[in-house]
Amino acid sequence: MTVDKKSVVISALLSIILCIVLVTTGCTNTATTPGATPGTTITTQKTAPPTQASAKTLIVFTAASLKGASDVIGPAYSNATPGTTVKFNLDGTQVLKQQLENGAKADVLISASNTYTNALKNEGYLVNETVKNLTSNYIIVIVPAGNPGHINSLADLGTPGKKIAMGTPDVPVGVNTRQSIAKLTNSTFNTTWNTTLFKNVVSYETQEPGVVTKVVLGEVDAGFVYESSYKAAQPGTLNAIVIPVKDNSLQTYTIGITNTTSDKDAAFKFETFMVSPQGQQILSDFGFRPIGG
Amino acid sequence: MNIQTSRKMALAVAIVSIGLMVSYLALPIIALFFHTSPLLFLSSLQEQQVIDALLISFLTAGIALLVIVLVGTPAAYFHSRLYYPGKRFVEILIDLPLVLPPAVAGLALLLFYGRMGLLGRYLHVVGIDIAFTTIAVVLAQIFVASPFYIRNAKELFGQLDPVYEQTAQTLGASPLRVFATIALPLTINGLVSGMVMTFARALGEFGATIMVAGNLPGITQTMPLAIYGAMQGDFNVAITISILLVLISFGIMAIISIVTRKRGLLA
Repeated sequence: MTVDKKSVVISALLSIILCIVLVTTGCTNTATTPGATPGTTITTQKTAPPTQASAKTLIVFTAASLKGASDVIGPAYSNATPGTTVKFNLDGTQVLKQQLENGAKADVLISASNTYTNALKNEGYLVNETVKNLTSNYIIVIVPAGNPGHINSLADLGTPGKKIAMGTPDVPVGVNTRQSIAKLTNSTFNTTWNTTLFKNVVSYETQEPGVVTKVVLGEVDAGFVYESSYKAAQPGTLNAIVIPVKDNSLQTYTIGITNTTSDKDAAFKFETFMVSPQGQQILSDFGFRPIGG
Repeated sequence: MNIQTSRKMALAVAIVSIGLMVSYLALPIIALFFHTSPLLFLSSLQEQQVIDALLISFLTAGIALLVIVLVGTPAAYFHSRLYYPGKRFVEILIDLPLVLPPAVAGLALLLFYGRMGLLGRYLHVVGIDIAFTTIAVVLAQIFVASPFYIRNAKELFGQLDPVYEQTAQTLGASPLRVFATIALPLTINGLVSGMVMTFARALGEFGATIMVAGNLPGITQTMPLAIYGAMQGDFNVAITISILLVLISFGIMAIISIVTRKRGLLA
């Protein structure tokens, strides 16, 4: 069956017209008619062009450990800056980095890892002058309430037969967990402890809240998480074993504006809020430490 | 418009729609191959993580399929033949894993089989722990993939004209013989294609697996988990595993397609 030139041309034209129509309808501004309902007092008010200038949405890519804090930061910022809503994209920092490198649009990045922040700065995804330290966090070991695994000290982590959860080697909490364990191996314990500990790991989670969940549910005996998650947890759900500061690995969080932001001023306002006393207080309420520990 | 013109328009629509469908599916998959080189691909193949993920994925999905077929085939057969109280409820239940987000399925499985779980706590007492084992991976896969097979089998058996089976029964054949010699050969093509979909779904399971089985290379890290983890670190490993999955899936589908076509001529 040969294809008649005429019908091919017609179908091609139709598809082009269809595409144009689709594109243009997508682009038109929804112009709202500022009609006063009949009967209301006639006030000569020049109704501002609808929506565009006033309502802003900021997209903040945030390290997942700020999950609880973000629920408070969002409304607090909207109160302080009327007309702006904040949308958080929470995930492991390594995932956020991948997303930005693959074209995702964001206004602000809150990163849990200096390494990833620096990589992004070198690759040109951040506005380097705007990158600042935001807060910090230590690593802590948590156990479920009731301590089903009978883990009472860091030494018990090296007892065979325990179930431990920690982050993957790529997620910031996982990086710092391994650094802390390495320091503990050298200062207090030995390689047997180290080997047994890693044999006890039953799951490598891709984001920090994943570890917290497994511990809270009591399905693992212990987990390596951020101190903030322990401090902000519901009272009575978790117990903690502290890793001494000398063996711990301080995580410094940074905040910065991305180069895909559509509104640099709005993004900068948010960043300023976060480093201001008000923003720092919210972080502190959720167990984060000030910059430098 | 005369009939000739409208037929030509139909042809044009055919070309455009099939072309769009093929390119939409094929181009992203082709993009996978463009992002790596044969050398990188072959060197990543030797990484222990890749080999582990391959073995675990195929072992667990294979066992899951076996269980689903062994239990699901008689279940679907008798479900389609008998009337029993609560049958309609069972119909809905069979479809439930299809609409349940996998993460929810995973959480539910964890709260049941986990050592604090409804069943798990008793198993734990006798020393059996299911969560975070390879068995948990199989359980998760069975849960999310079984509707694919059972629904399919249910429909197939239901559409069979009962006259053949009834004839065999009047001639004195046992239920097993009726099933094996009448129902099965007539539905085998459809059942096999249902098995392919089920295997594929089990192979690709992610959300439920990470909840109830965790993510441990060599024990519970399936290919999708490995891809997700690798994507966040070593991109090349992620691409290698993805390409492997594409090639293997394609291969399986091709083999199945050839085998069933032959059978189709006989059936």
